[in-house]
This record gives sequence, C-alpha cells and structure tokens, in this order.
Amino acid sequence: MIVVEAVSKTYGRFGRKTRALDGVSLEVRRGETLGLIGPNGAGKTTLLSCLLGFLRPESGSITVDGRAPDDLSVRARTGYLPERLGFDRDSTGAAFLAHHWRLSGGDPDRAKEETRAAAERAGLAPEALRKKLRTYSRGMLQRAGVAQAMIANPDLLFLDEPASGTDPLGVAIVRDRILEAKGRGATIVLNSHQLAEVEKVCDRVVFIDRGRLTRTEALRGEAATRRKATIRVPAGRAAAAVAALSASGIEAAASSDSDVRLASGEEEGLSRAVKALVLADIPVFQARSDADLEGLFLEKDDK
Amino acid sequence: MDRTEGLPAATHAPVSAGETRKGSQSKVSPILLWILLAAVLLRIVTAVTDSGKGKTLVSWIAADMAATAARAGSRPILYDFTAAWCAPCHILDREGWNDREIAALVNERFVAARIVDRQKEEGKNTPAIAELQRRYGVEGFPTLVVASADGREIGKFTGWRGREALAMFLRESRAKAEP
Amino acid sequence: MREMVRRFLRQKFGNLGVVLALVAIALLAMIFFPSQESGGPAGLAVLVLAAGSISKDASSGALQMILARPIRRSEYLFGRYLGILSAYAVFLLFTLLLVVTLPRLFSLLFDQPGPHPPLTSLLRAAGAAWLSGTLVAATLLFFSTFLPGFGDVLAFILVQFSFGIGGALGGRFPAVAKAATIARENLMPDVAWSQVFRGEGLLGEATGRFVLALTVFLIAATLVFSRREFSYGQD
Repeated sequence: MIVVEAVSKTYGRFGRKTRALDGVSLEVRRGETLGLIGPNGAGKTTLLSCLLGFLRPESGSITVDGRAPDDLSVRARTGYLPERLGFDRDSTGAAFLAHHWRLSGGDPDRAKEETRAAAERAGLAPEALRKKLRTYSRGMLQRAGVAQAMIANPDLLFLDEPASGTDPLGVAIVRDRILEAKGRGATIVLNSHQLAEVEKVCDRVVFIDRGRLTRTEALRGEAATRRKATIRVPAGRAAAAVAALSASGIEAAASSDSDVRLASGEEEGLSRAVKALVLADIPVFQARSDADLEGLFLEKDDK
Repeated sequence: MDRTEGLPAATHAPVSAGETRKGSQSKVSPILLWILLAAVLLRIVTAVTDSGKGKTLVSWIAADMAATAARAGSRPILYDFTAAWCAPCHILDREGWNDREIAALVNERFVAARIVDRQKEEGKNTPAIAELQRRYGVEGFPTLVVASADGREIGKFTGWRGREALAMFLRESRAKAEP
Repeated sequence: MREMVRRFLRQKFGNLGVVLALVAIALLAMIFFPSQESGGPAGLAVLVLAAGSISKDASSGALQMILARPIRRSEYLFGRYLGILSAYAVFLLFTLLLVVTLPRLFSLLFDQPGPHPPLTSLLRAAGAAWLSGTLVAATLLFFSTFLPGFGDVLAFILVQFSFGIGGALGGRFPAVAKAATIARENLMPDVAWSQVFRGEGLLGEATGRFVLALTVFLIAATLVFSRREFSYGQD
C-alpha cells in the first residue's frame, strides 16, 4: 500500500546541512500496523512528513496506493495526528471537529452527531465540546486530536506520538481506537517512544537511526522474531515455579518473587509451562506472550 | 477490553468513498494561467485606450512627493494645473509637454507635478488640491505655477500662448529660482 | 473552500482582541470617512485581519492538520483570502453604520444640525475602501506564503517605505524616482474609484494596472504556497 523507495531528505542551508533521511526504503502492506522507533532526531518525524507529502524527498519516491502521497483521493482516506497540536484557540471543540468533518467531505447534516460520536470515542466529555479549545488541558487537547484524526473513519492513519502527554486512560483509549481501526482493515503508521504501546498494536516495527532504517522486526504472525513469555504466580512462589518448570524440561528464571520468565517466548511453550505449573499445584494468575521490543531496542543500542 | 463498549460502533466506510477527488493537493489549476493572460491583455488594452489622455514626455511626479523631491534635488516645483475638459490643456500636452526640448528642460531643471481639477465632474476637489489652487490663486486652466520647495510662488503662466512663450517662461522661472 | 472562509471568520471574530482592535479602527475611520479616497485608517483593518494569516497556521501545526484533508492548497489559500475580504466587508458595513448613526444621534442630543453626507457617497466611499483593500490583502497574503510570523506586514510596510524614499530621492536621482513611481503604479496602484463608479475610468489605465497587480499577487501566492514544504523541528 505504501511504498518508500530509497528516499533521502536533506535540510538546511549552505553551511549546516543535515541529512535527515538517507536512502530509506520500506513497504507497508494494506491493513498492516507499522511502528517507527528510534532515538530523537533520528528522522522519524521527517519520514512521516514525507509519507504525508508535506516534504518532498530529494531522491527516491513514495507512493501511497500507487498515487502521490498528497493525492486528494489518498487524503480522503487519511487521518493524521501530528505531534505538535496547533489549534484555533478560540474555536470550541465541537466547531473544530465539525470543521474537520466537513473538510473531509462529510455530509454537513450529520456533522453534529459525528462530532459527538468521535469525541465520545476519544474520551472527550460532551460538555467539553462546548468549551473553547484554549481552556483544554494537554490531555484534552490530545483527545481532541485523536477525535479529529478518527472522525472520518480513515483507512489510512498516521499517528505521531499519539500517547504523549496523556494520562493512562488516554493512552488506553488511543490503543483501543488503533485496534478498532485495525479491525476495520486500516493501514496504520505509528511513531512512538512508548515501546509498551507499540508492542501491543504494531504488526511490524522499523528502527530509524540517524536517517537510516537500520532494522525491521515482525512482532506478530509466523514471522515474529522475538517474543517473551511471562507467567505470574502468587507472591513468593516464583522460585518454586522455576523449579517445577525445570523439572519438566522448561527453562525459566524468576524476574521477581511472583514473575517467571520463560527462556523461550513461543506461545506453545507457554501453554506447556502453564500445564506443568498447574500439575505442580502452583496457581497461575497470568500467562502472557508479548513482543520483546525493549529487548530489541536495547540490544540494538549496544551495537 | 474496549473502554467504549456501548457506543455506536464506527463501522461505516471512509467518508467520501462515493465522490473521490483526484489529483495532487499541490496542483495549481491551469485556469490561473488563463486568468493571468486575461489580466495582461486588459492591462495592455487599457494602456492603449487611455493613452490619448495626457501621455507626455515629461516625467510627472505625484503631487504629495513634489516638495520632498524638490528639496532633495534643489530644484523648483512646476505645477501644471489642468482639467480633463479644458481644450487648451490638451494642446499644451500635445505641443508643450510632448516637445522634446521643452520636456528635456522640464525634466532636468524642475520637479514636475500635475494637478487635475475635478470640480466639474465631482462637484469638489480633494482638500489637498483645493488648498494648492487657493494658495496660488488658480482660476482658469491651464495654469502653470513655478514654486520653491517651501511653497513660495516664483512664477505663474496662464493659458496656451505658443511654444516659444512657454519655453521662455520656463527658462526665466528657472533663473529666478537659482539663488 | 467555504469551510475555510467560515473558519477564518470564526478565528477572527471569535477573538476578543481582534474585535476590539477593529472597533477602535472603525471609530477612527469614522472621523475620516468619506473624504479619504482609499479609506485611510480603514486600511489598517486589512492589516489587522490579514497579518500573518498563513504563517501562524504553519508554525502552530494547524495547517498540517488541515492539509491532511482532501483540500487543495489553492482552496486553502483562496478560502483565507475570501475570508479576509468578507471580514473586511463586515468591518466596513459596521463603520458605515457608525458614520450614519452616531453623528445623527449627536445632532439629536445636542441640537446641532451638522452636515450629514448623503448615503450614496458613503456607500461609494465604502466600496472604494473595500476595493483598495482587496489589493492590500492580496499583497499581504502573498508575503505570508513565505515569510514567517508577521513578516508579511513588515514587508508591506517596507515596500511602501521604499516607494516613499524613491520618490524623495527623485530630485537628485531622477532615474530612481522614475523607478519608484513605476514600481508604485504597477505594484500598488491608486485607483480613483469614485471615477470608476461613475463609469468614467472603468477601462482606464489605472484600473488595468490594478487588476493586473491583484492577479499577479494572487497567482504568485498560489504558486509559492503550492510548492512549499512544511516541516517542524522535533523528531
């Protein structure tokens, strides 16, 4: 769906040129959720701006569904949440959302109901809609931004740090909206520092460092490269659990007095481990298999 | 777990799936080029049709800039008080200001400003014009007034009396303005 | 594009500061109305309305959110332009209202029969002010497409200033004066609108110059804005 080929972008004037992107190539399949990860200044926002057609790469090409990134038909299906939220301070939340609804070609007669629905889904109370945006807290502004991005039910989403500056409820709401869009078959590109969230929603992750795409890892599906399996047992029983597991031939280590981490992250290993613990009469409170992004990230840093 | 259970599910397709617009957002419509062409055409047409009235070899300066320009260049101001309906003024334009020698004399030795009277057409003039006419006692057209940069009247010439008379007036006024 | 106009109007008239400034200018303009041809202080209103319009959107990030919608860049631009003109028209009508009502009110209260200019000449003056404003707004819009912050207003003032200086230097350097006059007449021509309204100068050279200047500024703005890139620092 999105094809990026050998894209380079340089900023700056004659003295101080910075190579923000250097020969980046990647592909995002339809319906895939891609995460962009990397240190600050690595070029992620630049890449996102290029994907949105706000910046033109000096070499290479970007196509979205075979068209230019700023093609109007692409725009009609796009939802964008920028990192820096700039609003018309004197607009009310409702006016702002309705404005975006109409801009995206929505039926003006439905503006009011769509605005309320989008706000509700983003966690904005209806009373807040009547207030001016200048009265909104950072968290509320973020929710308004999410509502704006989702209001036209886009099947192409670009999110730049969607969970920054939000409270945990806000983070969870964003996650739910992403998963919901995913369920609809939307293609999502997500730029985030919050590895835990990225783990939960992305199918694939690419690492960008100093303008280069250094690594790509699949988090789900058969191609998933690294997962970690953890089992939670009653407090103090972790050591016993480890012993029980090794008796069954499963390698594990206690990461706290109630958490056990399996050496192998694969899911069928996890179910065998749970079975072993149950047979050993050790209660299992939780058994999870997650993508181990932090591990990947830190490992990459060591290089 | 969906924190938003109970809300209407957002299931409908992207909004404008029906009438999709195409083409790059940054495309500039070629219609604009035609509009530009039309404006250029209009400019040329108006320049041509309007040139009958008052195009001369003399470089006229805007009246409000005359004083400053005169001071800066140590030259006297030449005011041409004229009106659109005045026939002798048209003759003055054709045979005075379009005369190469006279125009050169004016351009080099004076700061020339044209004051067009609008009393017949509009009932009154702007305050600035009315003041100038009052200051120099202008009662008929054309009236030429040579003044110093600070507004002192040096010479006055009314009507069209032929090329030689005009040239002589200009030279005399210039001489008087010297010290 | 209609959306952009509505947004602009909401932006300006929803802001108390802007509204107060406009009311103040209206009161000031009322004093000079209708004797000034191109509206005099009313022109300030255009500056207040048009200042930094695009640059503010670009630096705040609001522009990117809007451009992510299926709207053409030219629609955004012209939407803002029409917004400025509409807001200016509203301002002029308000000023007209003041000019018509306040003096008559004073006359009634203080028993002073002052001269009250006829409504038609007031309307003509308002029309002249609005038409002149269309060119000022186009100029500001053009500068705003590539100058940050309030650079557009600064550039406008600088240009007017240089015309003045060019004219003043005219005594000593006639070539400079000629250049300044040509520049001024073609970039920001003064049109005697009262003549045009009477049908006299409709095809006059000044009108032709005005239309061309307006067209050039608007098209230049469209071209610059359509090619512009938008980035913002943090990564």
